Amino acid sequence: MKITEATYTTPSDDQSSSTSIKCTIENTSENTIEMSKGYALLLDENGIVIGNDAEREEDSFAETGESFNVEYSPYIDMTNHVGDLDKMKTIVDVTTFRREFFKLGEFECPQDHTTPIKSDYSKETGDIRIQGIYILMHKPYEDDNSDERTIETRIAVRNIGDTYIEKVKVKLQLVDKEDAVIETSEDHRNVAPSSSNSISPSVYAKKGKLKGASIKISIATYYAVKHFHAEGNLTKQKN
Amino acid sequence: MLDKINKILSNYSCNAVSSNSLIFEETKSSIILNINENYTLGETEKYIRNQFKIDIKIFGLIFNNIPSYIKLLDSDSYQKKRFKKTDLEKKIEALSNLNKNTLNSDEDWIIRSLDNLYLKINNKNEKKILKDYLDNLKKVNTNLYNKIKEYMKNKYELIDWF
Repeated sequence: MKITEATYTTPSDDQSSSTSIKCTIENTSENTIEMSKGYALLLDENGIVIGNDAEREEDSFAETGESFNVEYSPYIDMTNHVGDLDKMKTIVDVTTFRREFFKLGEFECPQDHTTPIKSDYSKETGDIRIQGIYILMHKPYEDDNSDERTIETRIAVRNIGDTYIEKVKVKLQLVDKEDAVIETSEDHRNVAPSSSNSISPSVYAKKGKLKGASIKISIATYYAVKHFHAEGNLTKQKN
Repeated sequence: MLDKINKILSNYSCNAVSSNSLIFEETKSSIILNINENYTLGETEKYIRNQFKIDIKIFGLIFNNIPSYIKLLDSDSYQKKRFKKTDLEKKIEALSNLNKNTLNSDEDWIIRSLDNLYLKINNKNEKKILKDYLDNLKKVNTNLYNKIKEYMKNKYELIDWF
């Protein structure tokens, strides 16, 4: 990984300044990279952290041998506390992730809040185990006169391996009886080794649209591939 | 209150996340919210932090990682522009950044990445993108251009791009 640009803007009237830190990363691994997560620290001339940008996740895509860009922009809210701005330094850490994807299938959509859909679907793949799928319609509030309904899907994912899973993402597609997509939604959690987490995306639709509707569910898991690190000095942005 | 903020931010295809939204909801609902669309995202975060004494982080709804120097007013178009870029355009941009700053120039890295991309080109549009990159490189870094030309011509006899 190389920092290709690290700049800060002229401080504004309220003494704030924006930064731009661009990095290029080469995927030297055998995996296709589907996501990156980065962190950038801003340090003053004495090495004290005076700003940061954290947990910046991006759909970075790179096959083996390809390169991609990421950009972070820690914000400095009080430049007068920094000292010499031209002596600021940045430390950037980035992790790349590979993805495993699979479809869980298509399930009936509940038609009222008293009758959930409970599927005994089970799957064990790689490090994760899924035991059943629970789909429910939320009970409308007493004063809710709209015919809008919330359909929630709860999928518990167990990590039975010893690898930390950065992200397990469940995606829903609500499709009507003619197979047209009404709405999509997704939710995600991390799952540490020997632990579980419940992932619960919801979709919203008019009650009438739910007649004969179904829900398509897929899961993507993201595993860390490689960690990158770079440091560089900031310069003032040229106008 | 976070709902109110997000309702405003959604007009600019943005969303705010706060790690302590519970306190936020309970104590700060009466303060007037006055978000200026000429604020950058960084300034908006600062404004909310000062006004409500709570940290938030703003993300893009179309393109998650949106820089803090983008103005709220421009955030939707910025994200759409990023989203529209093809995979090849993004990768060529990564290589352009590598050779833009001579201190960071890594010729071998650029050559092996280009070689990799060349093998995946399968239509006229993609060929044009790669050729435009090479034409521009010829102007800004002739040495590297010649090095790439020599490498590619030696490896692929039929190449007619140079």
